[in-house]
Amino acid sequence: MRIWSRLAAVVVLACDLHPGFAQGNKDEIDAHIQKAREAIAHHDLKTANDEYADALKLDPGNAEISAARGITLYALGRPAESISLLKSALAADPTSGEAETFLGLSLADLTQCKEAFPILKKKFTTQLEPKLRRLVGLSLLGCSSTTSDTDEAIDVGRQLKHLYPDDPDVLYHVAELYSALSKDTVNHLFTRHPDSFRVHELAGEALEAQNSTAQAVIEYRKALQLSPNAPHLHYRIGIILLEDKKNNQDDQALDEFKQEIKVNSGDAASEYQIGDILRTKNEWENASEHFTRALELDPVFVEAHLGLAKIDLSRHKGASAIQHLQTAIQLAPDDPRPHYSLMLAYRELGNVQQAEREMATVQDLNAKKQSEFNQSLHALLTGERKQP
Amino acid sequence: MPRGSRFLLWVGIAAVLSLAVSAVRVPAITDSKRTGPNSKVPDIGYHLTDVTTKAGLKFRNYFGGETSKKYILETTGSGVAFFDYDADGWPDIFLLNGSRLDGFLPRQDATNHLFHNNRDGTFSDVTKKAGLVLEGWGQGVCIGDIDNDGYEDLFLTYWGQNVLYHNNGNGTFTDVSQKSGVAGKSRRWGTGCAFLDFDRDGRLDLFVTNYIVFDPKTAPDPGANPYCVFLGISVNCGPRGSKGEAPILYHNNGDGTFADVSERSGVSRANERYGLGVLIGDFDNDGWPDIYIANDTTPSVLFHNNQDGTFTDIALIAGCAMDENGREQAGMGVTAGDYNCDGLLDIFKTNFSDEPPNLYRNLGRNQFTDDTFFAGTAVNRKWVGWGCGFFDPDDDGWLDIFYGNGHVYPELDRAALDITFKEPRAVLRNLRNGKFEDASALAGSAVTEPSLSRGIAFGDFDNDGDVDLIINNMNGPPSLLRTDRANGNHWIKLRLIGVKSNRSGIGARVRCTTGNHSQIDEVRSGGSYLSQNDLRLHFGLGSATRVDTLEIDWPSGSVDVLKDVPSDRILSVQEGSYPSLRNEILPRKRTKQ
Repeated sequence: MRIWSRLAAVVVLACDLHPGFAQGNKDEIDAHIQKAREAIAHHDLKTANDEYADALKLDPGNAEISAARGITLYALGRPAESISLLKSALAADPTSGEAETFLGLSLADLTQCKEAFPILKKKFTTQLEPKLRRLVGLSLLGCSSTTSDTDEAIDVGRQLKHLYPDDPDVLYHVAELYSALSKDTVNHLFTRHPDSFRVHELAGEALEAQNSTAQAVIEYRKALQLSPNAPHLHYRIGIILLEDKKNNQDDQALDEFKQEIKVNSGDAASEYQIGDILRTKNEWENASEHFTRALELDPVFVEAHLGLAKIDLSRHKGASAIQHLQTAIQLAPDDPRPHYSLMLAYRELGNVQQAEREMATVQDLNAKKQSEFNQSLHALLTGERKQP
Repeated sequence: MPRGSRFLLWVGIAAVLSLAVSAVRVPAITDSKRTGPNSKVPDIGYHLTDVTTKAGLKFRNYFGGETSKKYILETTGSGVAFFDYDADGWPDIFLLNGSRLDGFLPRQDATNHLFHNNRDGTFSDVTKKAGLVLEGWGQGVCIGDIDNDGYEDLFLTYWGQNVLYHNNGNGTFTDVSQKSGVAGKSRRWGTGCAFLDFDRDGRLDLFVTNYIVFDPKTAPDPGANPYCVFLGISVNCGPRGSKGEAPILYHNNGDGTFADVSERSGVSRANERYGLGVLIGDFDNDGWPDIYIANDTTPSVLFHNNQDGTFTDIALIAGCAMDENGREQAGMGVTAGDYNCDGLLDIFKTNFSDEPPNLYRNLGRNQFTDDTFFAGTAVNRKWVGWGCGFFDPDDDGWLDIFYGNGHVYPELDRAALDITFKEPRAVLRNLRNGKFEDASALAGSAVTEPSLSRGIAFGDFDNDGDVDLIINNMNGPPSLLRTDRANGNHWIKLRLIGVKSNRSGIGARVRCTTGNHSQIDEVRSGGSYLSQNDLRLHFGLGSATRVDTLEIDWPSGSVDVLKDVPSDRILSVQEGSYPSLRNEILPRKRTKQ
């Protein structure tokens, strides 16, 4: 966080002081202050620090010079040295807002959060310059995360995200906060309820996220042993079996989705999966019933509309397919799949012009998706947002 | 606040939980309903036996790194051909070889090899004698008699310049690449190839697919960007993100030279694709050869022959460019066959992992439907498919499917994933109702044993009336799989010799009818994955001991019809030997649509 480029503006602002100098050395002190300012303008913090140190030798009790040097030392990554200077500045002038702010930041950097927290919390709610406020907020978030007060941390994170919605540092630290909270919650669950099926459910999800699907199924089945009527577990197993084409387990997946519906009758996703498996088995009548049921449960289920359309296409009922596909397109205009099926439907009906139009749309949507990916890739590789 | 990434956090959570949950003593559930994938499959009537060693095929393919691969160049492997170079009626074998980024160790023999068929189940290496010693990044192979002298010539694609060998007819070959004008650029990545007579002038033209523009000096390293990461592992990059190269069509001038007609014919418009397998076939039964290209990561191409020297890509609207949801796939190998015996050539195409091979059923009128799931050919989503073919190993008169697999990332073996570098091959048995079932386990361990299959060619090397296979495995010895039939089914095989048509008979369509069962096939150069099948056509006849009719539609437009032909023999049919009245009363246009 103490990277000069990010801190420069903050330090320039913070060090823009007008101290009252000791009368006898005024010119000499003034010269040091001026050199320090010039050094800061040239991003030369080391020289600035030296100049402030020389000025302080001439006027040791000057609160503002102490504060300026303390801030400079903080920016140099030397918070331990800055603390004493900032404290003395505050002792001499308790109203020095900058000294207090950077004292809080320095303490937080040294993980002295107990002391830092109240300062940072107070400063974060005041009208600070936005860049400084961001810095204070990130330090405050770091400190709050070390305390047991998760509400406080979440609150700070939420405010930071609101104030700086596209800031990568803010997004990173808020993500870390949520990850840490998740981990704590998991540990809490395990410690307090080791016999709960939720432990296995969570383990299954973690394993699934790591592509260890066979292990994930074992955990989901353990969860079902403990709680046979728990929802979503059969569905998760079904999806894993369905995707594991290596072992051609569609029939087993079908059983799992059927069991899911027994314990979770309103699950449109399982109804859809049953429909799709039956469709690929050519059991169109049964498949239609399940797609229809999925749509009763969730009328905006695009894939279910698509499933019904595919059955119609298999039955050479192009006109009926078109109705479903037009609904699907209304729901998801940027999804190329319904457009592709619509192309097939128009082709079936001999409407070549419409078919070609839909095919062009599929190509446009695919190209758009590819272009977006290329832009992201370019940004990732070069740091530039747009390709030349 | 911990500074580790979210991924590591999840790993941590999983580790904690895996320790934690192991302490929870819950009895494991055994699934009594589980059955193996082939539990319902009856005896398939044949067995595939690996006879490579016994046959004396002393060859090893070298193709980039074995335990890691830095560039995509190291992943694509080489093709193979059943190739009767001496026209003695016994298919010989030609195997392409690759190279290594860092060169070869002493005694590593990285040349291509030609093996002569000794007619006793063994082969002799005649590479040097034939003048075919050549090293490099060998890719594809196709054959055709370019000068109609009775001997098949040999074309090879390379990352580098392509090579055309003229068959001298005395067991030797002459490199005529430069003289003929088909060598191409010094650094182009040629892949698939096929001879075809696209203008039906009696001389074989040449079609070549190209992959990507590749230069190791500028190619990104593994992990360099999201195109170089697979399941979280840093791997070689591409092809996505690379510049594609257009295919090339060469017209045979009839004087030993070829003219590049890519622009004029319109095939160069497919320039943003990554071409691999190429397949020639008359898909709309209009009598003119069309061209299908399996493109990696981009939509496939179907060049419809406009009958005037030009082609139009109709794959998108024809419904054979993408999957059933309009998603482009990473096509590798491709083959054609009339698996449902409706008189139309269907297409089977292998793809990258998570994209099961496509079975495009030909509906006629230049329309296809993706029947992959309906037909049950999506037996495994995780394999990366390569060489493939429709074939009839049990001679029941219905085409089955064989395809080879093998991933492109050796690094997978160092990660604890469900995906491995080597992968099994697959046999899909035709159930005669538009569906297939996985019969791999019953076909033998030569199928189920994991390997790194790439090019696959189909042909009857022992002339015993079935169809055998040769597989060029990446970084390993080849696999010669002999089909051993255990049923009493009958068969017939045809060697077609063109007179007015090209002498190889390439492009000729044969309809074989027994009772009310009709099969079709065409003599085809190239196909599968960068490979060449036996040019002879094979038809299984089931219990029929005679063929009612064999109708041969030659590219010239002439038709020969053989009637009441006894089974279980290899026939050589010269164009015009069995002229049909159809010749006089029917136009060239094929009738069934």
